[in-house]
Amino acid sequence: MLGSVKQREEIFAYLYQSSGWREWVVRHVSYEGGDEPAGEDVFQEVLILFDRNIREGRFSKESSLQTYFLGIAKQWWFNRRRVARPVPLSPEYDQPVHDNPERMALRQERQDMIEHILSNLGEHCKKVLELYKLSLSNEEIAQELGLSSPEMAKKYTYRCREKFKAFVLGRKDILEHLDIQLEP
Amino acid sequence: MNNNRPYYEQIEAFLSGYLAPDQRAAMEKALLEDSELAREVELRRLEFDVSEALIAQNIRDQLVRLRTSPSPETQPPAIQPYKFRPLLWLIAALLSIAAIGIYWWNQQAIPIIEKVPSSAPQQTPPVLENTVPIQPQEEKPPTQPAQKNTSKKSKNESAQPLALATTLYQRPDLETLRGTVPMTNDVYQVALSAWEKQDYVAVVATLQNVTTNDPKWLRAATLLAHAQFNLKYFAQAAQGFSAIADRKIRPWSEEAEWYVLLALLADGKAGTTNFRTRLEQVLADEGHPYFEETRELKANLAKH
Repeated sequence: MLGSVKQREEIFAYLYQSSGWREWVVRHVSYEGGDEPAGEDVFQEVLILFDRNIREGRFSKESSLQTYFLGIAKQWWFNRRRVARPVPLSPEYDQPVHDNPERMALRQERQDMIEHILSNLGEHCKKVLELYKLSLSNEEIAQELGLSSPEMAKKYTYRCREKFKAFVLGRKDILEHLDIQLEP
Repeated sequence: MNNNRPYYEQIEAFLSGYLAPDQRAAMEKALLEDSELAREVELRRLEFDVSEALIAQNIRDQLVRLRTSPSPETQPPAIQPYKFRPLLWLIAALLSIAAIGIYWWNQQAIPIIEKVPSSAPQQTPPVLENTVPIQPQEEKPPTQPAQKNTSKKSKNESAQPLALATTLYQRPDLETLRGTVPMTNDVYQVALSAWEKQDYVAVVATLQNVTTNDPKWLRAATLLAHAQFNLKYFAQAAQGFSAIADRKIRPWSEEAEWYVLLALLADGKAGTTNFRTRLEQVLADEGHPYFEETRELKANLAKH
């Protein structure tokens, strides 16, 4: 997950097809009031969370990766069920709920804003931002994008990030949401 | 803000949670005091969220592909080669016989061609779009009156732009052109291998029939145009780079916009409207990755 785009794709394919984690999640969700499509959905969203946590160093290595993944899945499904339909808590899941209506509304608003920004970014810049966030080197970014040199990748990354910034700074509604005051 | 410059440089580490507790506390304190720093952090945080949304979407897309494609367990077993071995041997034998036959035929044919009188008009293959010329342009025989009439410049006059173009030209890195998921046994891979060996003739020969419908056309066309440039087929290189540039698909188009200038320059076309228009187009975009190079090129040309 910390490797190249190709390596990441290989690990996701492995986790989906051969690890047995997906089957476990689907069984768990089915057992806990969901069905197979819901289980597939949980697996997908948990994989996204898991990937981000690994990349951002949140996995403390106190358990195995499998235990960590399945733990996230259990918590994720628990939270989702509680939002959809309040149920009595079992001791195992008795954890504080971090979401409240205001927080959820804010999160939704931010999500909408992100969608809006994405729809205004060119495909090329989207790819650049994604690769940059994956902490790929300029050489790897150049390779992914078929650029002629790492220096070109550096230029493109800088340029896309500046474009992103200019777009956001040009939008009053976004700035208000971010609570950003521009210098007079 | 200036006092907080060290914090400013640590925004990414702060957002990624990599700061030590004392550094984090210092950053949080600075955020309360410095609105510009706070703005930068919020902008960067939003950029991170947008990037993460893209990464998440990519994972979702991959899982959709995996769901719709058969898993390794359900894939049909590989063809058992031994069942077809006699057939393969037969095909190999027939191909060998055919190859020997062609070789023998060619050997027989050579003296006949040599007997053709030298006064007979030399047959040249028709020059099609994206096909390989037999000789580099500069070495074309003077039997082509059109070129003879148009090239009125002295050697010194044409040598300067050519020298400038070849100095500015940078051979692209093979690995970046290769992409991340190289496929074996396709013409593009064959061409890349030839490129690696600097066998530009083979590159051109391999890629000349790649059409725009091919999903790898952009990569192939780029490689082809670079090979043509290295072979000094500047007109064809300019044509190839122009086709890529005019597609307006970044990043390919922007790189091609630079290289078409070099190819036109090398081809002695720096005085043409096409060259000037393309040059000004690049200079109109300050964010163009080759803006600086193009500006320098223009200044350089103005000197001469």
